[in-house]
Amino acid sequence: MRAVSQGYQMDSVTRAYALYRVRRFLQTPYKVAGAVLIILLAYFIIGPLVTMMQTTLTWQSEDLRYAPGVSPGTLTLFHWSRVLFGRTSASMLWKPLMNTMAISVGVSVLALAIGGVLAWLVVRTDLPFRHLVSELAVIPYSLPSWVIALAWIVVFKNRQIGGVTGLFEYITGASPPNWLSYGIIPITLCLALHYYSFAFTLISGALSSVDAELEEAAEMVGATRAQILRKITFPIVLPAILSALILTFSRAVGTFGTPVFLGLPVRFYVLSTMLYANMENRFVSNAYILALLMILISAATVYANTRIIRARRSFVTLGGRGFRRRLVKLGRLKGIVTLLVAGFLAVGVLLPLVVLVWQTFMLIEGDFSPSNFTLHYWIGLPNPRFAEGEAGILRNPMILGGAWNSIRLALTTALITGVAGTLVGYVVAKGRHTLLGRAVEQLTFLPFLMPSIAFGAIYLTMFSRPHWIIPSLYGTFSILVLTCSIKSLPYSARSGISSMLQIGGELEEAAEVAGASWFTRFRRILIPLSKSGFLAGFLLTFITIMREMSLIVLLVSPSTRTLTTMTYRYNEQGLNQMGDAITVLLVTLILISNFAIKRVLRSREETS
Amino acid sequence: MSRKVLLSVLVVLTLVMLQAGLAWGETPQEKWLKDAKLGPYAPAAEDWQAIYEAAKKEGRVVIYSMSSRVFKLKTLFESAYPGIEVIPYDLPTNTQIEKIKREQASKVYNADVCLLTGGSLIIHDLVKSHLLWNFVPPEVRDVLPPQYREPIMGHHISMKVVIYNSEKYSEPPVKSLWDLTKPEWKGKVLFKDPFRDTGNMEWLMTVIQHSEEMAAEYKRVFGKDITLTTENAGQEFIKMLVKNGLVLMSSDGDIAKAVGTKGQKDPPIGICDYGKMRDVIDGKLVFNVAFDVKPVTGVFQPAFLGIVNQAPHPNAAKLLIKFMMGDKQGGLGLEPWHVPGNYSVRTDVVTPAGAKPLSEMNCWMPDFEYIYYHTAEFFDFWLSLL
Amino acid sequence: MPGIVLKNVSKKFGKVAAVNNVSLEIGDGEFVALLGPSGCGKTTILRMIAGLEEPDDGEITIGDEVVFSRRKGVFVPPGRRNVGMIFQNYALWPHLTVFSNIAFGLEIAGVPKDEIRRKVQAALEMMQIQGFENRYINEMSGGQQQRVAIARMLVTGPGVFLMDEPLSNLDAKLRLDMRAEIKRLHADLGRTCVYVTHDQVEALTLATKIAVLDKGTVQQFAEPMELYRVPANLFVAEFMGNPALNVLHGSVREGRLVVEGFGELEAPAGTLPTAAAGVIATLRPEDVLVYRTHEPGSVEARVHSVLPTGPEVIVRARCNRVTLTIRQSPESDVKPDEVIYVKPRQGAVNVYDKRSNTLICACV
Repeated sequence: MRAVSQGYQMDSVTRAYALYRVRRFLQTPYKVAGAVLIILLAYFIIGPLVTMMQTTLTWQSEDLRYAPGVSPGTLTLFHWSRVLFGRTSASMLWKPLMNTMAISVGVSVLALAIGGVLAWLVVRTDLPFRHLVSELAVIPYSLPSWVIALAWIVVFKNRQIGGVTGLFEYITGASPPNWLSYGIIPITLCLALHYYSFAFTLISGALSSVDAELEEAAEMVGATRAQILRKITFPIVLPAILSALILTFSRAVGTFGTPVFLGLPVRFYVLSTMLYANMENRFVSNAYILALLMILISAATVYANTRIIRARRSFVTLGGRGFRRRLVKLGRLKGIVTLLVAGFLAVGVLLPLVVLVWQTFMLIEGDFSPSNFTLHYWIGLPNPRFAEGEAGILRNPMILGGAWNSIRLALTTALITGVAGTLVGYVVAKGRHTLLGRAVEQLTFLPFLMPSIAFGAIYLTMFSRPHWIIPSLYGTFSILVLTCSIKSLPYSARSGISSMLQIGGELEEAAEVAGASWFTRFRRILIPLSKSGFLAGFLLTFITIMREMSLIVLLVSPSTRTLTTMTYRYNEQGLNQMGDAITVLLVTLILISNFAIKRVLRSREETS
Repeated sequence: MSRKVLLSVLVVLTLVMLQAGLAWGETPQEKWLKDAKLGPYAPAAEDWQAIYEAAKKEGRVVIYSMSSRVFKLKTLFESAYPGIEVIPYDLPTNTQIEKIKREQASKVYNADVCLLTGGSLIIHDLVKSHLLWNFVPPEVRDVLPPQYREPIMGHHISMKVVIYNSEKYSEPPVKSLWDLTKPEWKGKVLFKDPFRDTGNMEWLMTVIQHSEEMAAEYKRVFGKDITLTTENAGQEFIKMLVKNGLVLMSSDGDIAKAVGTKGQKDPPIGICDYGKMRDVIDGKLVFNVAFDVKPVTGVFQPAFLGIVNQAPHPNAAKLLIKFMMGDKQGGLGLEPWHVPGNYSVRTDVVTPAGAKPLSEMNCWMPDFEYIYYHTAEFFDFWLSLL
Repeated sequence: MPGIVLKNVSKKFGKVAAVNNVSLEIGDGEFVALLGPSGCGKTTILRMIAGLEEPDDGEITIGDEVVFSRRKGVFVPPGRRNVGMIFQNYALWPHLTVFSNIAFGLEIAGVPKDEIRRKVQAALEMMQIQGFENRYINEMSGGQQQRVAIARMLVTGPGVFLMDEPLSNLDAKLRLDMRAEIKRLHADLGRTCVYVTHDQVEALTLATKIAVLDKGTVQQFAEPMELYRVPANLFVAEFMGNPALNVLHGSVREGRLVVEGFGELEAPAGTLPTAAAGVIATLRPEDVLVYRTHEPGSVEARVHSVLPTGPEVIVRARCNRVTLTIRQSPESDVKPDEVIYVKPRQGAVNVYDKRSNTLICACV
């Protein structure tokens, strides 16, 4: 009897303790928020991967076209063996894979060379107009990656394939050869001209955080300038260089716009365009296998990156604090280096934009003479002779609707990811040494690994039918917001974490001691303090989404089309002036937002 | 007290059962069909005045169209039927089918009317599974050939044909499809990417289906029997075409431009929508159809018209469809498609000015059953050529 | 004013025990310093009292209220513990003015507007920072920020003041000022104070009682002078000395203490065990008496170096292979290499057991 009653008492104590633990859990906001985040993230990030895997391993209704007898839903290895080893595997997988690899390697090496040299010149030498150079050098990165491809077409389109002369032929009279107009070389060059600015940002950040004292110390022991560069400076910025290399590579793997515009005429496919072709022809399983392989490549490169720099956080741009810097004197080379840099910026940054703008003013494509000047594609009334009778973009309700969609999507996404990123930051900063904090941090990082087009493909399937408590989102604006939000989460989470690490400790605790509830703490302390960081992150996401195409090209529906996807459609139809005018509109919107970001960041630096 | 509880429980239960009973008795789809008077509920004659009134209440009609001329249709329709706005979306056939299937699976009802090609998919993926409903305005029923009445109504017929630059060549420079595989046209034959256009996929598959004729034509051109490295003469033709540097374009407009731009020294040849002749008539381009190419100059491509399942504006949709079927002169809503290169499916409509009569067009008609069951095989074959 | 009682409180971070079964009884109105090297668990104890950290085990009582008890399943959140706190980096909110910073707690408590104004004014006056109300924190100097932080703690009138190394970010002069300020505050208001520091001078000057901590356990909890005179173990002894005290190895033979350097030292009868193989004797630098000529009980030593610091002179001298640290008045005129005679001040040697490091006998 006694033993029993004792046992009962023990039970009631443990039960009371369990209740206490639950109460404490609920009283600890970061744990509650963390638990909610874990569930949401698992659902939105792990879930899609599982769904995708499942799709590739079961018969689909589309497969009735191959195998009329099968019953959809049953397990099969058919798709994998077909894609990996089947009769068409060379064209479906291996050739596009080789192309993807070749392009990605080429792009990362080229981008790194250009970006690295430029960064060094801007940060460490007495190159004139350094400030202007660095402002110009980062422009390509804030624009869609395919802008340069479109400009390339305007210039190098050859008569044989494009039919209409490009600027090159208009000026020289000679038709550029196919290899220069289309295929691997222009794709690599155009992408390099886009991604170099990423390498530039990363490396110039690293270079400016190298303390000049380190170099002076080497100089004191008699090292020459070249030795210092080779033995001191270079090894210090090596991690940044390697990350730039690897991250450029992983982004180039997933890029879609440029290979679509420049690859098709010569039947040149990369993984992303092959994925798109499969998706468009409803060979969904094939598309998913390609997507999974792209994720694998991307994950491997990012893993390599973390191994090299041993700090996962550094995939975001390093913000170098300004130490005292000594500038290398260019001396006699100054003139020629300045000219080269100016030439590069003129050709690589400004020319594409000028060419695109010019194109929009040409009534008949390919006629570069002044008599052909028109504003028709901007403000023209519908005229059946041009652009299939569509009105100029500034008075075309469809396109203005698309512009509104772009802005609305970017704003909503930026707001949602901003809030989510802050929350993630809070959980990670508070739970830094806990399993929960680490799990949230790792999960939010995952979308970074998934190439945009693959990510879009996953969400298309996952949410085009009701899924648990979430109604079907197909064709709605919400699916775009959801996809963009999750895909941008890694970036906003990084900035959320770093800003919360700064403010999440004592400043919040001081309010806690003063008796402020969690809500009050968030409202009166954490939110106001993270406001400027939030705003900067908000605007960055805004720009990223404004220029996004690969991610949403599979998800837009007629009523939710954005400017980027419209550009794609118009250019695909050969209405190049219209498409390019839309691109110019988009670029203008982005540059304005970019300007706003800089203003905000600057004012933040001034107040702190 | 407890009786009150019992009573309210009973009332609630009854209500729930009634609700359920209603749902069992009639699916939303059936209710929609009844209200829209479509499918099994289609009347023998339509009261167009009543439909117009109902359509005005609906206020708008959303159309997915594979032809960008739908923008012209918008203007025409809105002036003919004030009070109803047309929301046109220009979407390739592939995308339309994909969208409709997913939208319907998600119970998202965006579109009212679809104008699209790709007969095999329309029939198998849309009509058979009741995602697209056939609506034949009673007024035109008798002037439609049976294959354009059921299972889904046709709208117009276009065709993708061989075109050449008529400024450079006074005579068609090719006389046979096989000429396109000859070295002199290496890298100079333009074709729209079949991955992006079901029409071009159908074009190639139709050639394969007509392998015997292709083999005979080969013998006529080259004077010997064809040696096959593939399964048949059709596939062989496609393979040789690709190996001869076939250039894939993203749109027929680009092909027309490439072929027909004035002042070219060495213009290419293209296989392209006959409807692009509009640009020749407008004087922007100079090209002509190689009408006499053997065995055919191209493949027909009928476009079909239907009402999307559970369309939110069924009356406006009906009105728009009737309008699009046009009149005998090719006017009203047919006008945008009453141009050289397009032919109404109506037997009583005059041939557009400046065009050959449909009966004189030497083209094959795709066999949609054959195409449906050979798409996957063709997809693989095409991939293996890339 | 409430006292604070910690009963068998433990806290682990991962596998590391930050606080290990600590019990402390802090009396009403006492000023207790938690003193120890970094990582000794002093801040964790303070945070557990504040409620910012949840102990794994034990019980904490503030006044009559149990604020934490694992057994009873009680956890009172920080805001309801009637404590005020100053953080190491002040944790002043940069987006608020001085006034709003101080008023925050009152606003949370729902105090009427004009009363807030009155109370904030009083706190500003008390801390002598009137006129700064509308400034932002980054427009104030470090010392002024410290005053704002104290004002913010005072204004809600908490029964307990908790301070986490509040002076560590100030320069030497300001630190002295603020020390005086804090001591005065305690004298005026009489609140129970818990003060975390790693600086023994700060602890000695401010506290009424000091808890010396190491590796998560309390080494000694005593009044400052007792702690200084009779450290309970060698850790406390070494931690309290500045400059470090002289540590002399030795042994006890037949009730007599023999240490290196000095040889045999006399001890009051009965204070030493009859024999101990290994003991350690400690002698503070100021307790080494220096003579120019030989005195009874003194031994010869040679001056190694002379380090004047202003108010005092530290002399290092070698004596039978042992280096002694000696504190002298500034008038001292010993020179390097001079021969002097040294002897421990009567009753200033503490003897510790070599193995357990605990005190065997004080004041030999």
